Amino acid sequence: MMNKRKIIIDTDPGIDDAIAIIAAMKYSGFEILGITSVAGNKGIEFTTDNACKIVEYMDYDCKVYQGAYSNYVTVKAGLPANHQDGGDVHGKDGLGGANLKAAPHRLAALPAVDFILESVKKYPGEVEIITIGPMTNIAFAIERDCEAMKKVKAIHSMGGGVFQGNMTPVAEFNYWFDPEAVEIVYSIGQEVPITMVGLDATHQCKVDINDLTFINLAGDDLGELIHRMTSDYVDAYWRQNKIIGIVIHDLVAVIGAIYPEIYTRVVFSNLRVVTEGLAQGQCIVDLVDSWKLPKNAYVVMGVDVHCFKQKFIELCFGQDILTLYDKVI
Amino acid sequence: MIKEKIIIEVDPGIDDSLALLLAAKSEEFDILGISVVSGNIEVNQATLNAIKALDMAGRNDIAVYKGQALPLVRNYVDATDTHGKDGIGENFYQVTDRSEKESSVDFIIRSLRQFPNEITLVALGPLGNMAVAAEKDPEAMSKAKRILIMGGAAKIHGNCSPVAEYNFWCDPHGAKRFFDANLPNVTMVGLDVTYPILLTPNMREMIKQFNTPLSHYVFDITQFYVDFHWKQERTLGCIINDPLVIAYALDPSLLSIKPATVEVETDGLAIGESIVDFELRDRKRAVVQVAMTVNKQQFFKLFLSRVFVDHKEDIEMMFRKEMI
Repeated sequence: MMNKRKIIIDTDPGIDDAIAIIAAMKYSGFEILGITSVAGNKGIEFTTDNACKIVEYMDYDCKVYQGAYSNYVTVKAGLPANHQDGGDVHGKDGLGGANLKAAPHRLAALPAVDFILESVKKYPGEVEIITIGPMTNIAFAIERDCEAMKKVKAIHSMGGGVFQGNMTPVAEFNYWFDPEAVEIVYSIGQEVPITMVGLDATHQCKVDINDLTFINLAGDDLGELIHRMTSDYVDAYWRQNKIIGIVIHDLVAVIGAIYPEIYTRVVFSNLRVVTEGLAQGQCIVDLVDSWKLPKNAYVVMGVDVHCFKQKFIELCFGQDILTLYDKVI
Repeated sequence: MIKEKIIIEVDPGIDDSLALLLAAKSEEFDILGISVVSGNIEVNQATLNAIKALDMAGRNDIAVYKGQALPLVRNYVDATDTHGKDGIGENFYQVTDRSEKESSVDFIIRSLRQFPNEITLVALGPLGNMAVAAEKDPEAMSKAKRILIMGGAAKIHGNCSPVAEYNFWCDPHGAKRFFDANLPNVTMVGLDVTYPILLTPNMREMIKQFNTPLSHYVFDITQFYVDFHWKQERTLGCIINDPLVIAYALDPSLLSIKPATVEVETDGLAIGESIVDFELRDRKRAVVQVAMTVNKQQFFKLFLSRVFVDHKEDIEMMFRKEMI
């Protein structure tokens, strides 16, 4: 049997996180070693609980490891959590009223940073991290043992943006929430390949109501869950962005980690991040290599959206449902 | 503005209800009255449904007349499997019957005698009522400015059998006797052009987001229809036949038409089939204009921006962004 890819998912669920994690768990080529939680879309107690709920729903054999309660600077200073979270976009509990069963027994005692370092040392050169929340945990792991973290096989990051922002005109939420962590993570970008799946990529991947209706009607319990979980999200996207449909940002990073062929344009570039001021959280990406600085980021700029959706549907619902999808959409 | 006098016969019916909304919201029309017949649902409930649609359009001034309760010959089979037990998606609205005492046949004939060559007659249900009117007073009926029929299928698969469309199939003798009356100025808008008129989940979501009583009504009555389409034929969305005829009355550039003669089979395997002869072999039959192609996007622009006139800008933006 082929060796499975060893994966850690670092996440702040979050509706789109939840769907992304479910998709990752559906992929038989992954061995998910553990889920590490982080504050972001919601406070750490919510995101940890939600991660446990998802593991339980999928009945996946792994634990949840609780991570940072706030961003790098706040944790470092020992200050209380004082952040603006993803607000009501993700519903009161962060999962849009999905009503998943609580599962505190899925939580391990080991903190997230310890778990990450332990895993990386146990499987040097093998572990891939899919980070779909603020990168606080990864940053602390690097700070504690940079050499070990340089043995991470790859990092797939949902966050940032080159020409787009969603928190401010120039900054994406995850990177805006903890820009210092972003800076630390990309500091090992010459040793560890880091793929940035930012808003330039995810905004191309709109899942519209035709798709969601199809998933609801054809996709059994899981389809119904995804439909239910995203209904508030749909309202928010209409209200804020005037689009009919949603962008499941984190899902793009997961599908892309599994099937990189969905990416039609990836630019290996130097990336730096603005940590303060008006442009906090903005990625400064030298796409044309005019500064000749060391390249530390594989920045995804183009996605084949149809291929993305097909892969998602096939992965979550199987070949027959994909055939039906291709027929009715 | 000189308004177009119009009488609309319906059997609501989810798509009939949408047709009534479109007509009632179009200022070009002077709606003389609504005639209701049995079809998708029996005439009494259909009448309540018509009144509900007019209420939702803010037009409880429009008179409603009841017509034929049964097909002329054939046993009656409704379409509640498609439209729900109440005919409009099982929302079970409370509505008071305010229909007129005069029969719809008498109303139609009286109106045509009063305004010869001025009235557009639209028939969106089975044709028994129109056939009875045509036989009772052929002279009056030949004084319609135009008669627009939703029904039949020329070169496309049927929806009640491989060759039959529901309105013709439900009352094949009604349809046959209507066409045998050889009335002038008849246009048949059949499945050939209505089949592409798919109200998609994206459009329904936009409508829902408008968040008005009218938008919720449209969203709610079409839910059952969407579920039926999925279960029945794995179509994502619902086909809304009837409003296309109203839209055509407003904008003839929506459809391309071909002259033909139309006969209807009343028996056997092909019961309810419209036999459409583009060669016009039988010179004694009146020529009927048969719709063959449709500009679907143009239809939806017209339909959505009239029914939801307060949301015209959003609708235009959604078309521009190719979200609908």
